[in-house]
Amino acid sequence: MTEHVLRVSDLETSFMRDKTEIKILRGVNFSIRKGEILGLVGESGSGKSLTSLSIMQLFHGTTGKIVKGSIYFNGEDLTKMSESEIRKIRGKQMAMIFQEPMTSLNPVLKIGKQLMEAIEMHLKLPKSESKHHAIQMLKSVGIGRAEEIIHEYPHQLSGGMRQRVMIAMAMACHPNLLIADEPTTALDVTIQAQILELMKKLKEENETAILLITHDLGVVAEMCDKVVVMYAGQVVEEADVFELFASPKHPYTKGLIASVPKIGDKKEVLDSINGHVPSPQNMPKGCKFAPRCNQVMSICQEESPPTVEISATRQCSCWLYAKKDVEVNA
Amino acid sequence: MWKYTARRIVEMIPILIVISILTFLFIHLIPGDPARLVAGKDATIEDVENVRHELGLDKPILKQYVDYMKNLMTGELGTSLTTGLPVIDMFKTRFMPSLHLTFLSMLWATLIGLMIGVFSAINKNKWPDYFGMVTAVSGISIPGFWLGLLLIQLFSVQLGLFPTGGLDGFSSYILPSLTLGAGIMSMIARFTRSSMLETLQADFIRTGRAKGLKEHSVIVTHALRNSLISVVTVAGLQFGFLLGGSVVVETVFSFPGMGRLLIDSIAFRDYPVIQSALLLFAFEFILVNLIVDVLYTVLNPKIQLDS
Ligand SMILES: Nc1ncnc2c1ncn2[C@@H]1O[C@H](COP(=O)(O)OP(=O)(O)OP(=O)(O)O)[C@@H](O)[C@H]1O
Ligand code: SF4
Ligand SMILES: [Mg+2]
Repeated sequence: MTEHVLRVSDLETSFMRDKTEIKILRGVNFSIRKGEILGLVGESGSGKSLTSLSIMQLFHGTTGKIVKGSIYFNGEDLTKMSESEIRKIRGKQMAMIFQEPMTSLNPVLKIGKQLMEAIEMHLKLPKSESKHHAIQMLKSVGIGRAEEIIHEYPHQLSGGMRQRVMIAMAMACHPNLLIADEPTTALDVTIQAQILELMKKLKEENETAILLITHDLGVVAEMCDKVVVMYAGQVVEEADVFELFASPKHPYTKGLIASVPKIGDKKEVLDSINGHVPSPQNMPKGCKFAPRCNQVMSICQEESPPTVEISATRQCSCWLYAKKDVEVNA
Repeated sequence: MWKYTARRIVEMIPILIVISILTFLFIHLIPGDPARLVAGKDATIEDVENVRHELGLDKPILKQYVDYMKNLMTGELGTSLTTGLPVIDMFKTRFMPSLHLTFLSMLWATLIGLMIGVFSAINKNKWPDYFGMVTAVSGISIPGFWLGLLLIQLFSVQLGLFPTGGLDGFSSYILPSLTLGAGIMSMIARFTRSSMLETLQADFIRTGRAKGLKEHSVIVTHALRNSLISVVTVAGLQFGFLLGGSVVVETVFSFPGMGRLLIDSIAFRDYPVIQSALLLFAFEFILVNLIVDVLYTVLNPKIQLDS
């Protein structure tokens, strides 16, 4: 078994609002191995982006703070590092691409400059070599006229091209971990497929582990080895991608999968989950999903469910699996 | 970009013509009779009429305007009614001190303004921010003449560091430029702050940090560079105002510049001087605007000219 590139355990992150601390992540656990693609799914507001920002510790200009837990990256706890130590890891061993290719690049700097910035700093290459490296990176993400593009500005490129540039930038120092927060959500379907294909290719070539945040279960099925389902700042289920789609365990996961329209489906209304994600200020006492759960029991409203290991690759936080014998429900 | 600049220069011509008409009309609306002032207190009515004829002031106003413009085309600005010197010669000695004063004011106002703005933005709602903004608000709310008098009282009279007025070497520029630049400095500081705060929220700033860039690179290379686009516009327009707006400061410091010349000329109804000075101010203002626009397009790659 290969070692873990990233292991997040018991991660809690808060924001300050009106001088009170509001906990958004309330104990997040998962891990990623070398060369693995882990999908992070969940409704809007469940804390997916915040999980990624916590790993990168990109809290600048916000009141965000990790209050508990640890993030082991290549065996070292990032939560114990200083900002300058983390900065040496960011963009080098751990890189990130964002949802909005239109605004994620600096509009007044040339593409080449933006690529070379990280290369010069982390790889300590002289200018000419780093330019050569930047051109190589652009070629590796399928940009043919790389020599010209380094002299262009972001607004001269299409959304798909910009996302390729973002990927080239992220992969420039061959990171061990690539975090992609909804990298294709803002793109056309055809471009989306190309970008995902590219990420897969780069992962294979570099053995990069990828944390892929998405709300698109189709993308998960296509790309991921493993899936983590988040709800209200917690991981409710973790499973191998085939297991998850074949037999979802957590009622929330079941709802998510049922809400995906299938070809040939004649139903007028999708089976979506009723209700809304509870706001961080008034979280229900027991299971956070209880108000929306169709299998809710009395204990669910009293106590938070424990995380149950269903198999070596599977975990689920739900009272349904805690009380009874696992085999019966599998 | 050259085509654009050329087009903008051509466009200046009609604007300047309209301004010249307006100033011409405006000047003739100033109460008081220049012929009377030139002829002197004891002159007879006949003398006054002779002077009026000599100065061409008895002609119809339209004719006066056409004559003036004709002369202007040949570079002839007329002669002053009070000194009898060619207006152009009077401008020659007055223009450069004013220009130097304006540049110096602008220079320090921009440097300090940018610094205060950036430090306030990156320390939002902490004491450097409060300090910076209090400075900025004071700079903009203290009237120029009062600030000038305060500075003279403190640095010239009490401490004897600088001359109280006049023009005698570089030290004569210091207090007037501080006075003149205070308002601009405040404006630039506040504008830089809000512009930086907005830019720091941008997605590409987060990208920069995700790359592992040092904080000063994020601030200077990424945030300030973007903020400058809008700051340049504001600062440039202020510069245009300064060129003609040093009247008060030049008066307080008895500074022999264009502003003082204008004030004195108005007092003596020296039409040729007033007319040409106002036209020169308008020209400078439009020119500065043009430079700002071109600079804006240079800084902002999204605007592509000539395409
Ligand atoms: N800078 C911030 N200040 C205060 N609260 C924040 C901040 N950023 C995020 N939050 C809160 O954290 C919660 C989770 O946000 P997050 O962006 O992680 O959700 P998400 O799962 O990525 O959703 P989406 O699918 O919409 O991207 C939200 O309720 C949001 O209000
Ligand atoms: S713990 Fe109870 S309420 Fe929560 S998901 Fe399981 S069954 Fe539903
Ligand atoms: Mg998100």
